[in-house]
Amino acid sequence: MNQKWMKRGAVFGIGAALLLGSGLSAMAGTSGYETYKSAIKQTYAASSLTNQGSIVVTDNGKTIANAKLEVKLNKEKNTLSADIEVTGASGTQTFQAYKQDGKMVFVGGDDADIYRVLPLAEDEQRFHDGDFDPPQHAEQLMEALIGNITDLATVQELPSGGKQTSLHLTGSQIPAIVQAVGSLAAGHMAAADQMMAEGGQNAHMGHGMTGAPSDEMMSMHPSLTDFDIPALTKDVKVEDIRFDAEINKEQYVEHQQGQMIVRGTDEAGQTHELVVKASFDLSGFGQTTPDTVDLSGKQVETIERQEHMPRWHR
Amino acid sequence: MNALLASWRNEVEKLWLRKRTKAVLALAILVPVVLTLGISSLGRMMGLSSALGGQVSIITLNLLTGFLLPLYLFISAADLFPGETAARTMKLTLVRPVTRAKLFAAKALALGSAAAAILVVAGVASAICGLLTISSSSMLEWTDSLIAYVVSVVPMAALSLIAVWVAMFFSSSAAALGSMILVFAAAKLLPVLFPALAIWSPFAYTDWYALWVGSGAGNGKLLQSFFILLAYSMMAYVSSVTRFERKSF
Repeated sequence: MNQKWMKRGAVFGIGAALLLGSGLSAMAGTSGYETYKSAIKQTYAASSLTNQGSIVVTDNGKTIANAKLEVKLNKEKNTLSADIEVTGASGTQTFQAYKQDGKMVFVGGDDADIYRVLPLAEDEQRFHDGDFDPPQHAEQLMEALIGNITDLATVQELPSGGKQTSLHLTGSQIPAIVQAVGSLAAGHMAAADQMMAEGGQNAHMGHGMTGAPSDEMMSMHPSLTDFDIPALTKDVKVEDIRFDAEINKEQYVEHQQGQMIVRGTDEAGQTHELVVKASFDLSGFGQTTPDTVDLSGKQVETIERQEHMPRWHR
Repeated sequence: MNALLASWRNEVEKLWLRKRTKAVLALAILVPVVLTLGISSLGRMMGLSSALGGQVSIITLNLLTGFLLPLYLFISAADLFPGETAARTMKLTLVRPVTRAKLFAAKALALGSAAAAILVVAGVASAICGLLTISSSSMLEWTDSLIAYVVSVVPMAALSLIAVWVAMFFSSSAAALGSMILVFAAAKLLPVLFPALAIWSPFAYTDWYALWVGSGAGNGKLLQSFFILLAYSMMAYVSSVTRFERKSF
């Protein structure tokens, strides 16, 4: 009898110890996901920063779209400037946007010498706390949805004292929902591209004919450059997704990049490997001054705001 | 050993004779079939068939381990312990020349084997569906889903032992089942509100296979989660068997 109780007690004790040990070490363990999450929060809490990035889409190794952007943001001064350059099949277009003196200024696209000014309402002139944070509920919901996938993220110490986090998903690791959305997006990118090109033209026609404010608003949006996106119709599949981020000693994310590979076949039976690669370098934490534009002597058009217009930052 | 084996056979037969076991087995076949049909007809419209075709087995597994199997195991655990007490058949089992510890082991093993059998049936059904639709699944996906199905037995075994532990507190199967579902729901919901708790909840590992497929999580992480499941199983088993031995029926 006594021996039995000893055995049982021992098993229970070992179980409890095992649970405590594994649980505590799992809690103390550096999860790549948590490391990245806290670093990105810290990064966007910086009073100012510069974000230089590029998004490149290649089709079987041939670049079909290339966007470069440089965003400078200063929360203390409530200013921001953005410089975007998009290269596609029909050439290169540049756009600039500035937030200064309580208004937004847009310039670029087809008519690069017209400066369009959007006056901002009182509460939109300032950046608010949390403007750049992801909504908390969304974050929790996402974590619950993707479940144990977050555990696949790894973290590595770098010789510089920083850290590198990465998440690499292939094949069955890619959640079905991501697989569905990714394949749908890749399969319909070509159609969307065409629709947008047509939509952009219509907007310009409308602008010329009626000059109504809504059309004016439309034409302010960049009429997108044409891209040579293959129309994938068969066997479309997300093959590989990876995220990498480099975090420096001060817990700022200095570099982050994401890559998605989609494979598929077009109508003609040709196989395509689409690679979408986005890469961002962040710098100038607390030391960035956004560019400004001097509007004197320039052709300025004021955009009239309509009730149904989306608000900036929201 | 013979006594244990014989009791196990008895318990398995009891489970098998229940309609719900056959229903769950039928569902284990039906789910991949319906998914395959749905994806291939929907997929043809939207060009998704190959993106999701290879995922049928994983989606099936997700449904099974996240919802169907826990529910089935809860009902069966409630049936094998408080259910038999209430039906007064437990006494009959106890007068057989078997120690209570062995009888308990047989019942727990029967639950585990039922979970394994359902997983095997679902795995085979989804593999056949995959073969018939001639999806462009690579060798890697086959091995991935094989690994996923095999390792899913571990969290399901832990789950049934915890269900048995809860069942020990009750003498009616309805109350036991209700409490198990409550515990399960709480353990599933709490980590959403307090993410730190996810590590400690044994039910947070029902999609444990996600750590195993593909390049997988590191060995450290796999060991950690395995140990947590093992620890819960050990504690649940020992405390349940002790309660079972001292209980009067």
